[in-house]
Amino acid sequence: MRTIDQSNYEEWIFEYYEGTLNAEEKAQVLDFVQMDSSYMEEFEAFAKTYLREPLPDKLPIESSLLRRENYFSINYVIASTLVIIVSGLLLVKKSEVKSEQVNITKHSVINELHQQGELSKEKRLPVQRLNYSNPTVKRVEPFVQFGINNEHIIISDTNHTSLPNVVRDLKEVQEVPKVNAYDSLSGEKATTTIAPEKITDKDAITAPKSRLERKAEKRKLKQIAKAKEKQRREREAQKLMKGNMPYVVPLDPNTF
Amino acid sequence: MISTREYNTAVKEYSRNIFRYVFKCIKDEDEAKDIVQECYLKLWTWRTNVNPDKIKYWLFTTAHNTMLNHLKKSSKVVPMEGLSNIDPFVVPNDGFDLKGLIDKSLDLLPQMQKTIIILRDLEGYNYNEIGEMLELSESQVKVYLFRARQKMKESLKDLNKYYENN
Repeated sequence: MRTIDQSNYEEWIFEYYEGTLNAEEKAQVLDFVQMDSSYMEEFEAFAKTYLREPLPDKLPIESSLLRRENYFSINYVIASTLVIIVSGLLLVKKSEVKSEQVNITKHSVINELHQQGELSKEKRLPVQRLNYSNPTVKRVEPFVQFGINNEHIIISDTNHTSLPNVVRDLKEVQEVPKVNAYDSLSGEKATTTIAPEKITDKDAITAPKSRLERKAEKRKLKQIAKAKEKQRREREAQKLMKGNMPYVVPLDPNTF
Repeated sequence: MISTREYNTAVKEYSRNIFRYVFKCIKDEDEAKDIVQECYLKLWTWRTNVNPDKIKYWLFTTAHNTMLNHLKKSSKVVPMEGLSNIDPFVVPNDGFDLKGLIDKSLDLLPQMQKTIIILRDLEGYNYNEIGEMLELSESQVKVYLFRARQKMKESLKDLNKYYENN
């Protein structure tokens, strides 16, 4: 075991401050330096040789040392491209659904035109079947709006428009009931007829239309629907007048 | 290889340490800034070869070598056994406080001992790391450090006596 003495006390003191001594050796050093004041002076002088200095403030050259980070790394480029592609695909899908909805509305108007004798043929499809075949179509309000019986819609064979998915399903339909929705008054039962022709793929010719065209069509359809509603009311009024019955505006029973 | 972000982190974390180390050794602020700048330029140039875990160590080694080259060029090399060549009593008049005396006694040390003391006390490196930086063995570092502290202790005593008598 090493011991501290006059010949090696400086090394011991050095090691004491360096922290390489164990507790027993540290106690040995402290006992030794307390024996004489000169040793204690040496002991304290060693302590002063240790530098303690805080770091300087921020260097003025620090900003000039920094480098601009490259944000356009290959990973960022790949990720952003993928995001753009996916969002583009979603947009396309959305617009397809919208255009299908417009086409369905259009078919209902074609039915009306046919009833006026402007269209030669017609084919029909139950609405429920249409909705199952195309689950993205959730709204059937357009049919109600135009006064069409909710149970049926009509597909034209005039090659103006078509619904490919729907037509494929129609192949399986042998007989499709016809509904004269606009000839019947509200509250009356709709009359049905049989549509004899089978539907072929020739009917399924789609004509892609621009957004403006679709808007114009919508507007036109609304106008037609309004006109039809007006005509229907006039017809009702005329029927009432035929029996020499004056047309009396019904009063509100609550006022009596 | 180190990335731009790691490089910038190294600038923010270690530039002041390297400046303090170099400035302590050469006592010239402008030259110390030049050396720091040169170190980081070298780090950027050699970033593909530098281990990201050893940036600080790499920077200090480079700073030490760059500093020695600068001293050689400007002929400011302090002799290894240089105490005899420097008058210990030529101390700035404003420095009669403990910090000033310690700085002066540090300046009186040979370059190698001064470097070891700074790396050990201010940067907290162990003997092995200092040895790797300065291409010395662990025992050599310990011996240098012991001698450096002995010399500093003696010069502090002398300087204290000088100022007490005047």
